[in-house]
Amino acid sequence: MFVLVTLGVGAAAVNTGNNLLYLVLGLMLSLIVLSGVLSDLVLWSIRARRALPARAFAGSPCVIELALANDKRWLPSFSIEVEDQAEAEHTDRRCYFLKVAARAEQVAAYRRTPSRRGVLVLSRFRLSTRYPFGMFEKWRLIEDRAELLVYPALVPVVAPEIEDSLSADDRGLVRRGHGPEVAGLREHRDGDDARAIHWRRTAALGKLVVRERERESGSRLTIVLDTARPDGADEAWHIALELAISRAASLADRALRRGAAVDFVARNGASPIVLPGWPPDPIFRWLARISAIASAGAPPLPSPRGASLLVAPDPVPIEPRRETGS
Amino acid sequence: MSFASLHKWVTFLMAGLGLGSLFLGGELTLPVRIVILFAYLASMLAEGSRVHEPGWQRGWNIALLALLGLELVRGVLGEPPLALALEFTAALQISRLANRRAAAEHQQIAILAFLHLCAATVLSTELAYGAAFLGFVVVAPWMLALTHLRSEIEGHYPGDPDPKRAADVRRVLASKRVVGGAFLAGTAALSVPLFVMTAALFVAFPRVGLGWLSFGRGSPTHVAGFGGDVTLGQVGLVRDDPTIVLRVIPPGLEAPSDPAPHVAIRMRGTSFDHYDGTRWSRTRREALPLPREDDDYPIVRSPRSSDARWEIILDHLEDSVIFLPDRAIAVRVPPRVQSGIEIGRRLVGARGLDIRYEDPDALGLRYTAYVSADPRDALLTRIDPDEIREDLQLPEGHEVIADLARAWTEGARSDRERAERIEARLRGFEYSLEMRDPGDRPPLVAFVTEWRRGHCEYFSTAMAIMLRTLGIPTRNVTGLLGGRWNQYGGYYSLTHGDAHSWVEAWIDGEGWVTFDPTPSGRGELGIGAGLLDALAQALDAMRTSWEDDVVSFDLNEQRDIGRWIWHRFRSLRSEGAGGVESAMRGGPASVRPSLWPHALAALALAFAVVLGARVLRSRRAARAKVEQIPESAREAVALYRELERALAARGHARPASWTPREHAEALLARGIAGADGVLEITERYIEARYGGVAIEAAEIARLRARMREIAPRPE
Repeated sequence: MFVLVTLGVGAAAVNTGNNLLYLVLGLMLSLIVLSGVLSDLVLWSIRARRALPARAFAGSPCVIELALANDKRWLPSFSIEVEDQAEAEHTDRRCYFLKVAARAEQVAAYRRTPSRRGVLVLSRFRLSTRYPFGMFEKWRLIEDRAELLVYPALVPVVAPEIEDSLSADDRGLVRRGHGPEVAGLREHRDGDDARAIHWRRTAALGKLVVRERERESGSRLTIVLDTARPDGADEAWHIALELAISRAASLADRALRRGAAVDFVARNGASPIVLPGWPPDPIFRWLARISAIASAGAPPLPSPRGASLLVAPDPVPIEPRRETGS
Repeated sequence: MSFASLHKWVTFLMAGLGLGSLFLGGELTLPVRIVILFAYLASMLAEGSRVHEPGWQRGWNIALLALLGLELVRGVLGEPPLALALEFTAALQISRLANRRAAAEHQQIAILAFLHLCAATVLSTELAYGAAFLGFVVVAPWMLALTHLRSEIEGHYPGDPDPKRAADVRRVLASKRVVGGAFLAGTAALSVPLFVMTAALFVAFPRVGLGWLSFGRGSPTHVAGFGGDVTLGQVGLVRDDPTIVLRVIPPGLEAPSDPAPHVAIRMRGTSFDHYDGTRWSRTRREALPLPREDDDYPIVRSPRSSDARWEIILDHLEDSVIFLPDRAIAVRVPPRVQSGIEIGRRLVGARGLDIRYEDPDALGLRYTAYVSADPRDALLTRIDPDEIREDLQLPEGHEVIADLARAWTEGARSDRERAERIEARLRGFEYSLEMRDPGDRPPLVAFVTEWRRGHCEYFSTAMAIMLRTLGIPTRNVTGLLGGRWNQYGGYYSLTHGDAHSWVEAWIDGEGWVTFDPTPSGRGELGIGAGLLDALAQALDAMRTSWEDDVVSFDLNEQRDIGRWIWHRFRSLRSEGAGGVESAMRGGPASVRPSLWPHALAALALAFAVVLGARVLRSRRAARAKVEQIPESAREAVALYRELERALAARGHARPASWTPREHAEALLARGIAGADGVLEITERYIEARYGGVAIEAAEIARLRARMREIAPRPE
């Protein structure tokens, strides 16, 4: 609108030769020039960084923190929009910073919903502003690569019935779980619940130590995941595979909550076993990275010794769209 | 002051400047101005929920439509369309001010204010417009920046059906931390580069105006005595009017060392040859175009290099008469430039050395008068024997004047001696502005026989009639006599109060000779020497500079500046090569000292002082970060702040460069006791504040309990 009015004033000035209109035109053009310069100034000496969440599941929102630091000595920066750009995924939410004072940092966060499991590469920040007059948008890219491992989506599943299946060989194993009794202490590992940390021992030993609790039952569940891709697999099969992985992850989560030890086997590998009371992250990470293999020449499905559950893609044919008419 | 309050006052400031600029030029009548002013002030009270009521908006729309209908009817009835259009645009602005709901209305107010500023360019070219423009230079960045920020706030905190979100917008607008004094000072400082850029662009725009829509601008100044006739007593009674009408730079003032503060510069305007007893007029009114030699207009002869040059800056007067110093033989008037083409001015001259110019721009005139030092040039003017009787006309009933003239000149042997004797006798009278009623007698008879006191017109009329009774062709001349040095502008100014009357008599062998029979102590204007007088001088210098350097700026001056820059550039290059060349050779046409650099420097200094004060204050004050807390997250935010205080008390304050999550993870990695609770509270805080996740009261209570584990309250 302002630019249109400026053009109108310019036309009027040329038409009339009125010096005062030239003066107003000069002012309006100067405002436009100044707007461009100040927009650049807003984005000068600005640093951005992010803090990723510990866990992120496909299809579920996670919160990513963004921090914007203004290193300018005197000038605050106003009205900056930050887009955390990802490779191969559209970013639909942006963070808005109304004001970042000089020599200060402002923190905001946004919700991102990863569309699929796997490694989400966050490549760079796009900082943009229309300050001060909203006439033009100036933007700047800040390269900052980070990877977020996205776990499979968790879906509602019926908890598997698991019997105490410890064999004689397993009798020596400590029966870990979520029971009320403390089974012992061990060193902290990634994914451990922070509430399990034993602070007194941690302070004494100088490293993080967590409490382990006994589980209420002594069962183990092996989930067999079949990722063999049949010849001619279509899009429906890939969708079914993702659903199967989600179901497998959800089953594992439920089983762990019920006090079972869980591990995964597939044609091309196996996951670490996760004992009761341990966080499910090792098997989620394994599931986040698993991919389909061609069925031709693929190794046979392993046969676990104890209780097991087979999870395989169950594709539902995609109906072609039919034109309806009267 | 909150963002909303600051935005409101800046909005009203900008709208006020726009509406005020519409008041320039006198197109709007006083009652209309009062109504606009009242409505403008009343609209300040319109805010809050009232402006969101549909009835309020509908009422304003109906009122505007009704006003439009009324204006159309008035237009049909013959009222001036420009005034009606101005009234309606003012009403539009008032309606926007009374309906300030969101950024969109504020944008409309800014645009309307700019349009008002544009409209005012056809209303006035006075310095008041310059003041309004300067106000815009300062206020426009405030207004545009605040309106843009408001638009962004509304966009990022949408007023969607969720009342909590709408409340967030209100909360941010009510915040005092977003903008403040530092913002105002910093943005006001932008006006300096803005002004410089505007000036540069103003000079750089090619002046090739097509002139399709040119308007006459500004009301001319009325100065009595230069029209078709003048009634006795009309000129001399304006002695106390300080309105400056003419500025003169006599020769030799280019580098003034110590100019006299007051001088008597005689600038001749026009003359009259017919007196009917109370009124002077001209027998012949027809005027012929003056010959033109380039930009020169010879009156007696073509100018020579030996002639002295008087620079004269004439205001836009009701009577476009050209004022000339004594013994002027020619004038130089620069052409007008239209569509990039120079168009010579048309000057016309009538009998009695009445020279006038066409003034389509209504901008006044800047011209040069050439004055001859050779007295013989006066002889080049011939008097037509057929017309001489017009300079000898006598009114009826003035026989006593003739008797007195003969008595005063008895024994005189030449016309010059007779004229000098009459001049000397009249100078023995007393100067006075207090005139009495002459009764049945002609006023002139009462003046010379009884009163023996009066003002300049009485003296000049008496001398003219006396000389005519003696057969000496004489004309009554009106002009200006005076001159006060303006140290800021570098010129002598002559005011309306300097209007004066004297005579020119034809002396054989000398030509037209000036005689001034008014006593020397003709009631000099009160001369101020205090601060107010200096201020008045500075204002006039700025006004002159405004009219001359801005309003009348044209292609010729652009060329001059271009040449000056080119010569300067070449000079610098030659200096660099060891040569010496005057940098000022071929400089801009104007040699008068300009006030703009001083004004600019003063402005910059003022800004620097204000900015420095703000910086010192801001250093003392703690810098607070802008907070944007949704309603739903307040509990979580309060809890997290409590946590931060507790951690700081334990020596684990969060470094400014770490995010809350980074800090919590770092504490966990370092094995700080209670770090798990810190992480949990931090995650919930992030989810609530940025993720829009509402936290139940029970959950808050549980987190608060964990908080107590981390920072137990003292027993």
